[in-house]
Amino acid sequence: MDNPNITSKAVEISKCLIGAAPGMYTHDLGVTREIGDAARLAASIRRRGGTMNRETIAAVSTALKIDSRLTETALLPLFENLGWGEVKTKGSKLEGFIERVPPGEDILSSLGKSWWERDPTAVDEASVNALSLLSKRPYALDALVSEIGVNDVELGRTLDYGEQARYLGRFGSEDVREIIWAPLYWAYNAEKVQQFLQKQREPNLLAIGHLAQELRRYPGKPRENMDQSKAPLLGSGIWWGFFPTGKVTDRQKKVHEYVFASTPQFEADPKSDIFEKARMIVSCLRHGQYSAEITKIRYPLFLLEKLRSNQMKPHSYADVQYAILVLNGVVKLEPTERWYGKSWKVTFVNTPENELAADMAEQMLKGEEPVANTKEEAEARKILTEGMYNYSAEQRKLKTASKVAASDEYERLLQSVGGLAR
Amino acid sequence: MKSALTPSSELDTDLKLRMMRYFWSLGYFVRRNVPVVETTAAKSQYTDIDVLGVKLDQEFNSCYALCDCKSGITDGTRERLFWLSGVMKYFGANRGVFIRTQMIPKKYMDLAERLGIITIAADQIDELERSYSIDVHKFVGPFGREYVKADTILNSLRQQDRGILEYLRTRYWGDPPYLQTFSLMNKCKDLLLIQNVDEDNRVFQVAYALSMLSLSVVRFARQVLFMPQTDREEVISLGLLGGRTDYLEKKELMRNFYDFMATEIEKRYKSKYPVSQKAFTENLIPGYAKYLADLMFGICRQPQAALTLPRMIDLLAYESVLRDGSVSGKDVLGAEAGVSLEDAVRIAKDFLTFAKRSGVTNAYVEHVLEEAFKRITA
Repeated sequence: MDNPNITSKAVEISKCLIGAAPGMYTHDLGVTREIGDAARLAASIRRRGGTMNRETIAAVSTALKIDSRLTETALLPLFENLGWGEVKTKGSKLEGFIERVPPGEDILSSLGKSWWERDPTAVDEASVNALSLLSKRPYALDALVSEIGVNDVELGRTLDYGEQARYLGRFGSEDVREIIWAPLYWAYNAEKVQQFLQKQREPNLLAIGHLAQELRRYPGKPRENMDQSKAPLLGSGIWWGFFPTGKVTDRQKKVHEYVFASTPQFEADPKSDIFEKARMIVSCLRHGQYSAEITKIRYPLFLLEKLRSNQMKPHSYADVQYAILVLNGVVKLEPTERWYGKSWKVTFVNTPENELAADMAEQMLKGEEPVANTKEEAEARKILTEGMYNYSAEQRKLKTASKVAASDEYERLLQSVGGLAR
Repeated sequence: MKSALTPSSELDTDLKLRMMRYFWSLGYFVRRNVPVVETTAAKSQYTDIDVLGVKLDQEFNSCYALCDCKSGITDGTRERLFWLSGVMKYFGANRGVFIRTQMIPKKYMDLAERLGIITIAADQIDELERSYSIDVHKFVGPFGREYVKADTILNSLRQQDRGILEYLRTRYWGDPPYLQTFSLMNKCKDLLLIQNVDEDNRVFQVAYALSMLSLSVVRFARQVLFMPQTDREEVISLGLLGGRTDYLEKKELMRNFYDFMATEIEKRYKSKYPVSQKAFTENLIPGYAKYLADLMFGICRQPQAALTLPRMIDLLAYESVLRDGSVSGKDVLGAEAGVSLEDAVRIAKDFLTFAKRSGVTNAYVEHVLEEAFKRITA
């Protein structure tokens, strides 16, 4: 597995473990969790510039739900080691941090390397590997075990932690006794997707994996442009919610669908999912690229930049193309008169959440896998840019377990403590 | 260009160093003996500017000052004034200073005034130095007494890679900031590749190139200083290639070339071209553009502190790398009121981080410069 992939999976796992009471998972998944937290913190403070004082660092950590003690004792020293900034101390007390965090792709690759250097446990390795494989498609348990190469005890712990923190799941299907999948990627519609997957046999699961890979490389592909031989499988995948889509309705009331691979979902409410907003933005730009009635877009990335900086020229088709973004508060439309008649000026609603969604849309359009961001990152940005902390993030209910423990945890504790006593 | 030092040229050099120090005290980044190339059909002819100074204002606009120092009486003052006026025009300089050991400035005042030049008799410099409270015993950085050593190390590039030396000494000054940045990044990488070179000499050569790069980067930042943050990254990336139009044209050309190659390989060898079109065409934007964007964000966030960057790196090159001494904060900050040494050091470290990430330094260069940072005194 490549380094960026390791870090992005570590981020997903560390988010799923937020709020869980201490347990042996803090040891078994310690490296993964720390690297995931480091990536989230780094991405949030990047381009802050200058010196951040101790209180700001604590506030950002709180918004990200990272213990500020961990930030001070482990994450900031790690950043300094990587050349991402300087820790300022007075005696042994942290005074501040001068930030020099590199761009996102460097964060992912450097932290992936650090993950290896920190000697991850077998459960760390198995969890990251499994989540990476399962984010593409479900696997029969035997196939998964042979891919990740793990013994029964470690496998048991990996699945226990994964199931309790809801990034891994298992179910039986028509021809295989046990299928392992990543419900985190379909949290809103997990039951429906599970029903869909239960009907599939191994060759179809493979084909689903190939489709997902294609959509990861080119997110928001128009449905009509997909390989027709795979149309039935794609159609049922879309219908059951395995492949999310963005829809734009044109003036003739024709619905254009833009298909995506699924992304992790950390929020309980689908409307709060930042990925959903990112997909909407990409769908609207793809619509302009493939189906615009007046002028087709050649470079959607450039258009996204213009959209974010409010430099798009007024356009008579904007009310159709960006309707879904207006409904979701990403842009506003203002009517203007042009020489050819009525047109619309598009204004980006500049909130930390929308900025985050636009960042992810940009990653998608570049063909990169977007890092799993949530509203927490938006809150952290708010603290850094506006100096305020909106406690609404606290109100969201994470679908994570409050306790994460492997089934053999009690025995293991007894053994370890007994060993010490002798 | 002169090479052997004669008594007259020693006098010239002394005048030049003092004028460099004078300009430095006013906040200029200075260079001595900058050749100007006048390309003719038959050959290239050289003439040089004795002292060239560049000063950036708070909005990163460049102001050039040129100085012609003459100790002898061989050339007529009038001719020199006309020559200097021409060179000023070539550089777009708005300040020209003509200095001569034996001269009655009053005699040429009208002509000099019309040409936008200040004429100064050499003995008048003493008074200027007193007026501006310049420490007459202090010669640091590019006007330090070890200029011969610096020139020797830089001139050794003539044998190793003449193109680098020519760029650093001459062609650099004719390029716009984006092209200076683009070219210097490549030259720095070339410097690291030269074989069989004394490593200490290499560090000075790289540090010297980095000081000029820092000047270009700050000047380049002017392009994005007044832009919304969201636009900056794109403007910087495309700016390195001469702007969006140039970029799109180059990309189109690359795309056509790719299509041609892919078709030919398919036809002749019945196999696919091993690189995707996207990877092929997107290689146009240099990989370091993203790090440059980060640096420029920092520069735009603290423009006043950024003004100290070129002089800081230049002092590090001369004082710490060449002389193995330390840089004094006073010499860096000079005329920049309201900038703390801490801010100046931080932005210089940001610059070094950019250089490291972009691969224009090696481990030894980084080590020497990091040590130099530790030795900066108030």
